[in-house]
Amino acid sequence: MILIIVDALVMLVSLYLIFIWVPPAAILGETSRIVYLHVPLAWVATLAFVVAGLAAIQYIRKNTIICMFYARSSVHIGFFFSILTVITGSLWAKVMWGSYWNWDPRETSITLLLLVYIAYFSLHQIVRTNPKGAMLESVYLVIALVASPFLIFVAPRLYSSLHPEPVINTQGAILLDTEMRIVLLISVAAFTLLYIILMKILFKIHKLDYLINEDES
Amino acid sequence: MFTIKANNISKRYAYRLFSNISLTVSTGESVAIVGLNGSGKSTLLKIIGNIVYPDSGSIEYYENHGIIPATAVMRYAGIVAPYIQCYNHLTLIENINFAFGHVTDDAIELLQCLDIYKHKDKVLLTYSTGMIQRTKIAMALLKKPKLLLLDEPGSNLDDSGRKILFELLAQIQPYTIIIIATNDSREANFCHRSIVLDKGFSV
Amino acid sequence: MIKALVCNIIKDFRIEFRSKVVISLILSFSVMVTISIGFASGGMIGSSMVHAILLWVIIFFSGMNTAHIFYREIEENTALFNLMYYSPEHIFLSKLFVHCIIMMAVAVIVGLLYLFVMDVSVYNPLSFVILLLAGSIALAVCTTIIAAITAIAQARGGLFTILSFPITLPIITVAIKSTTQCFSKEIFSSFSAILFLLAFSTLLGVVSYILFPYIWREF
Repeated sequence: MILIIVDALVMLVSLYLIFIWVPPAAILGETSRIVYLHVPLAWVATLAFVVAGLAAIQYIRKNTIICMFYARSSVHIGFFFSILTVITGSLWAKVMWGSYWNWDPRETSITLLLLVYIAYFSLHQIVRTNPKGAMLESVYLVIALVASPFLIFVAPRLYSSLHPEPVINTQGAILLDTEMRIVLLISVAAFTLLYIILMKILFKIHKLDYLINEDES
Repeated sequence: MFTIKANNISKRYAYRLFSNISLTVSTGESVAIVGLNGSGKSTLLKIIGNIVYPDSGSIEYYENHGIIPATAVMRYAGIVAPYIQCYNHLTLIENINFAFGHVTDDAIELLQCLDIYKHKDKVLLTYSTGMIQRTKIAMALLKKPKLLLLDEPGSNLDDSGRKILFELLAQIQPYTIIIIATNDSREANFCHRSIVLDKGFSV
Repeated sequence: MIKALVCNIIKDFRIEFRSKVVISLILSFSVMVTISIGFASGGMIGSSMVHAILLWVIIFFSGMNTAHIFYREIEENTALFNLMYYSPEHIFLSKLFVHCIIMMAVAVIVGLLYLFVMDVSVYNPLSFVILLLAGSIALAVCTTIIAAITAIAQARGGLFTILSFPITLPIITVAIKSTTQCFSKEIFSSFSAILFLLAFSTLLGVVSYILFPYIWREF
């Protein structure tokens, strides 16, 4: 409960800072405010994926079903946040570059993450009743986790990008103004707390679902 | 000396199959697992062979008092069961070459004893069910297993096949643990003792 | 170890040549798709990139039929029989080798057929051949464990393709971009692409080798 209240406060502060306090970025103008939502959403989508992969590794090592609850919860959250990342990214792309989709490597990499989530859900649906289902899902998540650096980190750097690093970040360092940096960090913190809260809720739901199925059988 | 110690094994699928089964068996001993259809005979056999994991309880394997990791048990085990099939697109000799690398004189003698040597160059797809069962028995025995797990071994065998099977089991009995899951009283009577699975418990 | 691998590999090839399931599926699929594309386009595709894309899409989808090497073990109940004599690690390595050989054969057959049907000129033949082989090996290595997963899930149909696609997309992307150079008059400068394909497949191959014993058990 305390976590929810804290996150609500941080989120409110974050929204105030994003839409009222922080000045617009040079060149990008008022549209730059979406960065403070888009980047944390992408961060949480990636974080969720990594957490799911790590939980899957732990399930493979220890064979404790609780790890699978964490993995599944994280995948659900990551999927949802990936969609939001794509939506916010597309809206910004429309305003900045005139079309919703430009096959920019960074746009593509988050979409690939989305494809991994969709593939995982397909597998989960098919192996729900299979006694080895949890192990199959875990192995797939670990394979996807190992392949993901190539999708998320290598691919965007292989080819030129429309993403605004050349404008905001010409020297390849974090060169945001102090105010922008503060707002971005607070926004990232707010969304990370939101992720933790959603994980706790979904974990309980998956655990209850498992226990109900056990009782029915 | 090969020893298996199972402690309080429980397993369930959609319903509770059995619980709190304990068993200690060593080289030279044989155990029959008997019970009604669906009582978990095959499942218990699979658990002993480390093919399936129990929901609770533990099972340990020892060779000359040194513990063997469960993952290595299949190396010591020969299994004859309906859910294990040889490669039907290969001939008998090719199956043996696959498993052992070459065909020894002992192997030829065993195949002749089981009366399948004359079909050695035919693919198993052309075999009858009885011949397939004899092939599975041969493949398990050729391994010289320390643990022989047999799930309804007499099924599909005619009287001469059963006779040969019991003779072979009697020959290897001193050197191996034999566990048979069966509804057949003749197979159960071959063993030194029985575990009866009835309504989820051993009796 | 070597003896175990050789026995398993010989066994798999013998069964494939006798049952001819994988061979006929792959050949039929790749021939039909290539000829269909040739027929539909009338050989009028001019762009190198489009040729590269079509070639690798046909190779990828033809390769989706190779999952049968694992399906067969589950459907015919031979998985446990195999485990009685060999460890999961031996089984994985032998299946991986067989999968790589089949995929390389697929890539070469599809490549030659495509060049013939679509009348495509290759300006960097050596690089093209190396790319075909490296790309097909990378596809095989990355999808071997996925084939095992779908076989154990007993899910024929599209699951293998759905699970493989995101994992193999970096391979396909890199292969397409490099193959485009082979079909155009540019100087081939994608040697790093070949290194990437080999590095990516090595990494996923090692991880698959470690994870395979956890799924190839409890039948």
